Order: sequence, then C-alpha cells, then structure tokens
Amino acid sequence: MAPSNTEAEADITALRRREGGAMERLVREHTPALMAAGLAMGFSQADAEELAQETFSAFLEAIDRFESRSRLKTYLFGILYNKALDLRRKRRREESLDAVEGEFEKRFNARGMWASPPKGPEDSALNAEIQTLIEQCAEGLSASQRAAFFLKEAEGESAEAICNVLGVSYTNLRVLMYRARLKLRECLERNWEKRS
Amino acid sequence: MMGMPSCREVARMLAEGEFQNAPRRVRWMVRLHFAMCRHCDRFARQMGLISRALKHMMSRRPDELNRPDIAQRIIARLKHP
Repeated sequence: MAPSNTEAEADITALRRREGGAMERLVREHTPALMAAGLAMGFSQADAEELAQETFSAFLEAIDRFESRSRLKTYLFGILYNKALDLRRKRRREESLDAVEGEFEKRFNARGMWASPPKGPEDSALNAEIQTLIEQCAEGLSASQRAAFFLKEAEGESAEAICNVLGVSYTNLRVLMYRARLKLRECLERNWEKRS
Repeated sequence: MMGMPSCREVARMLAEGEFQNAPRRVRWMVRLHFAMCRHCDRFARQMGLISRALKHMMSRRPDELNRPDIAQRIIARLKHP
C-alpha cells in the first residue's frame, strides 16, 4: 500500500537526516515500479536494475533539492527517464525520426477518403495472437513513446504529470503518442498480412 | 469540423486519442461516419486493440520484480558504490 502524505514527508525528512533504515525503505518501496518502467522502455532486466540504482543514487545525492510538494514516485520516474535516455545514447541506439506520418497521409486521396484502406485484424476482440503481434511491434517504439504509454497505461498518470516527466509540452505529447499509435497500427497490419 | 468528417479527419482524431475529448456533436458525427465507412470502423477497432494491448503489456509486473534480492543488491551498491 502506498504511504500517506504524512508518512511520505516523514520518510523524506528521515532521508535528509540520513537516518538509519530510511534509504532501505525507499529502495524496497520503489524498486518494483522503477524496474517495471525500465523494462517497459525496452531495457533488459540487468539494465533496468542498473537504471533503478542510478535513479536512487541521483535522488539521494540531490535530496535537498526535492520539494515535498512533488509526488515522489513521479519525481523518481523523471530521473529514471533521463538516465534511460543517457543509457540509450551510450548504446548508440539513437532514435531516428520515422516517416510514419508521411505514410499515413499517403493513404488518403485529395478529398480525405481512403485511397489505401487499412488492412489487418477486423475484429475488436484482443486475443493472445494479436497481443503478441502488438508487443513485437512495440519494440520499434522510441524510449519516449514507451515511457509515455507506461506512465499513462500502467501508472495512470495525468497528461500533465507525463509532460513533466518527459519534459515536453502537451502538444508534443499528443504528437508523440499519435505517431506511436500510427506506427503500431502499420506494423500490426504488416505482421498480420505476413502471418496469413 | 462542421459537417461529416472525412476519413482522414476521423483516423487522425482516433490516432491522437482525442475522440473521447471531442465535443458530443463531433463524436456523434464520427459514430455516424463509422456506420457508413467500414475502413474507418476497422481503423477504430484496431486503435482499440492497440490501446488494450499496450495497457496489458505495460501493466504487467512479473513477480520477479518484487524479489527482495533485487532491492537488496541495489541497497548494497548504494552503500558501497
């Protein structure tokens, strides 16, 4: 169960005073969520663990700058996200801009009607096969897109909180998720055609 | 969007995830569009599939993430970097 605000503030005070057991409580409470975020962004379990550790380390070093008004979990996600981008840069897995929007526009004629209609699954029931196909496609999403979906879908964060974590405007977030959905749909269509 | 939205407008709104936030009149026009356009209806179903699959995928918390030894290892490394 998540600690109440008063408990959370007491924990922060204890961390600032370097009281025994405070750091251990912080790590035990937040490690599963940070690990899940790292995995959702496409990192291996070992990398996710390293990211979680670096997140705690950076947080503890700068704890005096943490404002208790911020939600601790969201604040930690913000640190983890930046660490994840650093790690990805180090691995030289820079995200390239995709041409998915151009592909989308080409599907319509001048009157805005489908020139190349969508193919792929027609049913709205999500079965194991479609789930697997979409998960395979999600591997092609950028770290920012994965982070945005993780925060929205798994953590139920508001658009405002997601914008804060990712350091983007609401318009940018909308574009980021729009491109991700288009990319996933295009990929789902391709993989669906290949399999049948 | 005054009259019936075009297929491009419908698909864009769905991909942006803005359908639920659209004014009631627009949502009504879009639903009417679905009734007449099987391609947009299919596109909408696929957007729904993607959304549900992502929610399922992102919410998955393998039991192994709760293993105490992971937190224990991190604690040890934070104490002795």
